[in-house]
Amino acid sequence: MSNANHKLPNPEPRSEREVDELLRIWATPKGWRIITAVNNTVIGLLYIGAAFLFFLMAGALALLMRTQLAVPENDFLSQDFYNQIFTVHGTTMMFLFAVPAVEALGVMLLPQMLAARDLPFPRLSAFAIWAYVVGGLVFFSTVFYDLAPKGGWFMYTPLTLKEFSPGDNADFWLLGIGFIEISAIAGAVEIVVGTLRTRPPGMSLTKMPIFAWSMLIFAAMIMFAFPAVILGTMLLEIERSFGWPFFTAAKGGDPLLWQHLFWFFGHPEVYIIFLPAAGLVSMIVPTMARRPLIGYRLIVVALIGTGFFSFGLWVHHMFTTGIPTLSLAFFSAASMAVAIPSGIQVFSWIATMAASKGRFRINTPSLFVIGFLVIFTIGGMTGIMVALVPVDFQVHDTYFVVAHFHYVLIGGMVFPLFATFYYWMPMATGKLLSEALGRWVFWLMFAGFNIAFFPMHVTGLRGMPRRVWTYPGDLGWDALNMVSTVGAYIFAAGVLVFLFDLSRSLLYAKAAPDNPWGAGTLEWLPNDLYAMRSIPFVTSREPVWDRPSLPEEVRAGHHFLPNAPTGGRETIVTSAVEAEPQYIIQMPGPGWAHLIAAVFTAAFFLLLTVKIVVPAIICGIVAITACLVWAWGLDPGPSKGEVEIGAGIRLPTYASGPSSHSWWAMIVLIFVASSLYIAYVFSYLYLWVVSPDVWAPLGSPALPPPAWPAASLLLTLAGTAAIWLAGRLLPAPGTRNAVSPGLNAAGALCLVAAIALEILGHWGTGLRPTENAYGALVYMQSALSGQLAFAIFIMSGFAVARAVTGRLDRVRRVSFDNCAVLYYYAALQLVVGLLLIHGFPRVAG
Amino acid sequence: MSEREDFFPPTRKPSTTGTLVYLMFGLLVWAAHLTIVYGGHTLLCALGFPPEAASWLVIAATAGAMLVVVCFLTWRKPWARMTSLPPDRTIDLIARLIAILSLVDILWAGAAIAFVTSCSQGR
Repeated sequence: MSNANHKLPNPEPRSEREVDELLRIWATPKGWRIITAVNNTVIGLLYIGAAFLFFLMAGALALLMRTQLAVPENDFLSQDFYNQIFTVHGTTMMFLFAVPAVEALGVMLLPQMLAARDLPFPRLSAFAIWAYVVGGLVFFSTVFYDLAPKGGWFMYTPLTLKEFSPGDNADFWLLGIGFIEISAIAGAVEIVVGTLRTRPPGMSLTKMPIFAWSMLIFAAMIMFAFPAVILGTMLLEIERSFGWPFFTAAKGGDPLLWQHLFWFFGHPEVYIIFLPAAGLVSMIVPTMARRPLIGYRLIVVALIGTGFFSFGLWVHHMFTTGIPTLSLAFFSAASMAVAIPSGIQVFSWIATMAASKGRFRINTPSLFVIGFLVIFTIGGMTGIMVALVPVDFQVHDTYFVVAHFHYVLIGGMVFPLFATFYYWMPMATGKLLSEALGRWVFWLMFAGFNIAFFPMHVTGLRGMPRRVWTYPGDLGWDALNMVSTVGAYIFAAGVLVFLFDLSRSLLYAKAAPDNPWGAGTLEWLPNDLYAMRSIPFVTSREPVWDRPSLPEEVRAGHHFLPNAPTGGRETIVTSAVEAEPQYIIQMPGPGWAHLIAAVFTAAFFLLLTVKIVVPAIICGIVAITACLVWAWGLDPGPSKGEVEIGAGIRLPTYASGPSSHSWWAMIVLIFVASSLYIAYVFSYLYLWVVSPDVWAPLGSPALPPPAWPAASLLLTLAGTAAIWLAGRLLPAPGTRNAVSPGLNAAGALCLVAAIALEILGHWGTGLRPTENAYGALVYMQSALSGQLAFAIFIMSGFAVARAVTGRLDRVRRVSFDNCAVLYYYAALQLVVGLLLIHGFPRVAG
Repeated sequence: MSEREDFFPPTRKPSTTGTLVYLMFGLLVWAAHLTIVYGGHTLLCALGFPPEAASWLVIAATAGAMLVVVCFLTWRKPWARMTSLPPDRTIDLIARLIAILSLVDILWAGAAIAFVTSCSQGR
């Protein structure tokens, strides 16, 4: 037991000049330069604002659909336009609203909740946000130019192959959304590293707020789920653009491969959206109940369990595709089992409310929480119904499923989001929303939602299929559809009242008190642009409740890091499990490079979509250059020495190797790359199971002689050795040498040569990627390794440039370490690939 | 006792990877079990093995996975030492509950073999 409960890290009075200095360092750029800002409080608001804009726009499309379906045989919208609208509605809600909205809440709330000055990679957050804003707006605008995709938000093949979906519409989905997924992954890297490494001293894993747990699991799920759909979109775009037949049955491909890849992402996606929302509810309920959450440990179990189980459910979207019954049973069982952790959370919230013994406050945030509980529970129960294979056979692709997933998604995410708006508004803007208007918003949305979606259960059971643009008038669906449409407009009225309330609050509302709800967590401590004046020492899960003097102590600078000892933006990096201070991270401030990189990355992808290749490549080069300029200033080295943060603790202001936050980010990225590669290996084995007849040596040219893969292997090993030696031979600080950068460059070249040999070997046998699915998969393996090699080539060049200019040595070595660790992974992936491509057909054949 | 030790007593520090593996051990076994029963069953059926072979694979994988989780629940201290984990009651309790949840789910999924024939198409 520590004695720290009674002690303060900095007990002596502090100078107010330190606050002025913090304000100067963390100042938000003025005027139009605000677009260069990177503070989480500024870009978090931009992020949530953009996500909400997409919610409104996709909601408007929903109203158009409901208007079309209000009466039978309506011609308000054409069939083709309706197809575009339901595709853009679903895609926007899932990719441009739901995931970004919760990621935005992470960016905005996590640093405050963890008392960090900011997340560890502020420019990465800003890059992800700007890329998403630009890419998302361009994607959404396609609906105005008859260029929007029409294949549904899941873009099933073969409907989306070139043969059945000519034009660029489907490509906008594949490249636009694929690119936005990359932006989501950038956000996930930020959240994983931020949650694990920038917690306040003393906040061990078991004292972490539930929202931080939920965001950690959310980000981890993105790391493992999104790569599958990224691979899927790559394969489909390559098939559409170059004719590599991954999904064409006539050439050994299989349309169902797309469904596997899509739903391996798509089902966890539901929980990716739900878990953070559940985390928000777990923060609001105890505050309103004025007591700690009942079952903290059980909720952590439920969050981790749901995160895992959600990856075992994807096949329940494919029950009707002809998969063997025993396999269906495994996934049916898993689909039902996920109800246990979800139920644990629901019972914990109810128990917390009940245990408050009548002290639970009924106000707008808690009304939205109760609405969430009701709606989500109904959605969960219909989820159990569709987890049963025979029921799913009956209701698959009907409006029953539409009702089910809207109950889960709107109940499980939108209602908690509105609770969040009303609850955290004072923290984000310093102003409260109106309680009276809030109740109108809630009741309109709650009533409207149920009037709109409950009848759809019946419409579906009466056989109305999804995605139809109109229907005959004599099937008993008319009145139900009219009721649903009326409900949708009532729901929209609730959202409109919210917009009015929001505008009123921002323009006219008085300043709110620091902690209007009397909450117990750190985000309610007094804060400013720099977050808290000093970073508190945390000894419990509700530190503000357990230490009433904490707000004043933090404001007076009596806790850790009450100033800016490096003279720049900084925060404390702590150990991942026990949150013991380890070093000070120096963070970048506002800048243009990340913004230029984001805009030109978006331009690269979008120009490629419409096949304007040369300008696209130019944009790609500009984006990479901007990234290099951005990265050039990120490795400041140890020149600031050690600084005192309080309690006699002196911390270094620089770290490299496995303890550094950049290393952690690279490891997270490697997990993402390996997930993508595992999805590729699954695709290879899956298509072999489906079409062994196109595999070498019987259905395709025989494999190249073993000397080819052996040469690739040797080059890879030689490159790995060169990189290892380059690390060992880095010069001492203040000196330079030519050997280390030379070895670094040689290593990169070895990797490129190994991949080139692999391609040449297969080309020499006469195998072509367009011939059949086997050929396409063989060359895809090299394409995936080539992607990594390209990144390593750039990173090696960057490290060499830093070595030549004296910015890389055996202490200041982050840029080399990042390159090396990615290299080792790339080499391993290539070796596995060689074994798969050259070994498997020999064994299986 | 130094000032720092007032705030951070000098105890054995847990490994991050060890803590995460220990916490999620049951679920890692669950994931391996689902991969083996789904992938193995599909593969054996596709390769033309008799349905009994696929059934025995599912039974063996389920029994094996349950045994591993039961061993974890019974002898947690050696597992904790293997993952460089000092005793932390909360972490330990969360790991146990997760293992129990995983055990139920492994049994629940594996029990399907008692009711459904291997390698058959439902429609």
